Amino acid sequence: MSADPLVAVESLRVTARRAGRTYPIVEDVSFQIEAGSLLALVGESGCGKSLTAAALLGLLPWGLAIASGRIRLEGQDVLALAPAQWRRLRGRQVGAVFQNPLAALNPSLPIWKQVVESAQLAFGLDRPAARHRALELLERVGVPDAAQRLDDYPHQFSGGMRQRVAIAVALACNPRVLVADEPTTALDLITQAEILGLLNRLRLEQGLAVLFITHDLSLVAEYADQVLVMYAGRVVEQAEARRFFAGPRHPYSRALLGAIPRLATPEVRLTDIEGLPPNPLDYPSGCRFAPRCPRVIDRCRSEDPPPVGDERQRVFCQRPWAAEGI
Amino acid sequence: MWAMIVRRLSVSAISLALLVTLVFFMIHATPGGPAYSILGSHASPQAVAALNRQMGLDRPLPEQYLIWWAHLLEGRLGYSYIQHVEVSHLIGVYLERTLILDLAALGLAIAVAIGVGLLQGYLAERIGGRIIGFFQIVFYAMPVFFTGILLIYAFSMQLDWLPPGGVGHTLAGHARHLVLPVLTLALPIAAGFSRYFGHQAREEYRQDYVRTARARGLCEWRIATHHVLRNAVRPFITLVGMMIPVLFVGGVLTESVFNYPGLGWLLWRSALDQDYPTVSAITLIIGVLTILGNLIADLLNSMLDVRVRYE
Repeated sequence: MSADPLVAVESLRVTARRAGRTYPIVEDVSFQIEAGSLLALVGESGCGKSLTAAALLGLLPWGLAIASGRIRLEGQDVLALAPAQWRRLRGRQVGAVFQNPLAALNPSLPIWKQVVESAQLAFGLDRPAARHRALELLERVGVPDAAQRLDDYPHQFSGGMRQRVAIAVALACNPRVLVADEPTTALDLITQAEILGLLNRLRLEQGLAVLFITHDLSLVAEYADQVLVMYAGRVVEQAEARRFFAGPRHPYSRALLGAIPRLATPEVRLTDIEGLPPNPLDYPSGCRFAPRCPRVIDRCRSEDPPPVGDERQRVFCQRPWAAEGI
Repeated sequence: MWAMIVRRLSVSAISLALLVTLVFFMIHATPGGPAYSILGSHASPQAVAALNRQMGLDRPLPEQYLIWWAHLLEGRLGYSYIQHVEVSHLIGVYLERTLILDLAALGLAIAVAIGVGLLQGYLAERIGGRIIGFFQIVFYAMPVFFTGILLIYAFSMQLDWLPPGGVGHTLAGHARHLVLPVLTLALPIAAGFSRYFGHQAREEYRQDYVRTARARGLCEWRIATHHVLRNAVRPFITLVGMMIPVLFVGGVLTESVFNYPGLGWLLWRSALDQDYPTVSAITLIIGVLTILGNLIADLLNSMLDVRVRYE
């Protein structure tokens, strides 16, 4: 694709301030997502993947800040914008769906109002136009009998339906970028598959650039175009999905894939990763995965891991696994 | 919804009946009985017996109880032997003044509490939120007579802007006389209300739907007024209903500090004069207002609760 990527993040660094000191929480994360393409951002809880998404949305929690780097949405450098201007891009250029659909909607407003609230404010729709737009959006995300359900409240919907409504909320102003932060984690397996299928259909139909955040690699194997694996605030492996799933090169990526149950080969034992991720306020020097790594060598503990490979599959490791030939 | 209203109304009716009964026994529990308090503690037993007969106090208690109910239903609250007037005639004008003072203070306190509480909920642990929390404690702890005297000293004696007490005779005069008592009464209530509402708002600001609202580009003002307020306000309404007697007690002190002839002032005077019929009647009125306040709060709450409304 020759067009500019819809999302371009360069050397993003997010820091936290505690008791007068600053701690890096996310370091040197870079990626691009083109129209109609899906990037899977993968890692364990606390690795900084959700904060990367929050930074992209301009919604970092209080106490965290973007220390350096660049974020461009449709070519526009959002960090150069005033907060109010950046706010106006949310909803219009970038929409977001979050983990817990049960809490994501205001319990005391009927859903149609929530679905079109941003569109009403952005385009000044009157009430009939707004209701029509709400109906259109709810039908697009596959809410059955949408016309009868406009005035219903969130508690009258199941979890999966609420996530569909939340997706309709995110798409109300036709953004071209969608951030999906673990959108299926709180749902049962069947509903997970339905929501994933819906997001994929919307991405193909509308040419959305999707940043899909998950801790579950198996979820995105089918749909991802690129995979970015984070560990303890840093990128450990970044690759085209085809190459990544053919042969992940970082020991951590391998371990993540090894922890996925497979129905086809139940006799294979699941492998888990020993130990816990390090505390962001006390990261080890050198490679942060070294204390848990099965392939660790002395140099890992003293030197930062070097980048290995090319832009099609880059891994930050002293002793990566060999690339599979594709 | 209607079943709920009927249920709630019957609870209020039962509370009212209990209240009336309680006040009846309260009158009969006065030391030595009403006759002694009228005639004084040195009255002869013959005089007491004669007065008891005259007032019907020698009849059996159940009969007196029924007469008490009959009088109440006619709107008669008793006879003040100190002021020599029907209590119901006495109370009317005082009640009106108190309602004006208390409702103005309540309205001001609610408005301030909602504004400050939303800001506090938004600021949370930030320095501004902590400063607000500090002043809430300070103002909540300041006694009404202290605030009142401080305000009188500043605005009446030093600046000479506002009268130090009493009531006015024109509409503007009334308003000028109300400013300081309303402020005095509202300040600790606003502090208490805003602390409670601020806590509610902060809990709401932690909810995911606020993040969803920010993610679709809404401004903080709209998030506060259209989303957080709606959800934080319901427990607050209950609190306001419950605080009505407290408001009235604060009113007693405020009215005495400012020499404002309202029901609280009358209660204070009547208590000093041992005018038991008047004290009982005022107790009854405060009780009725409390029950009504709670009823209104509950009905408002159920109207705002979408889950109740749609069942």
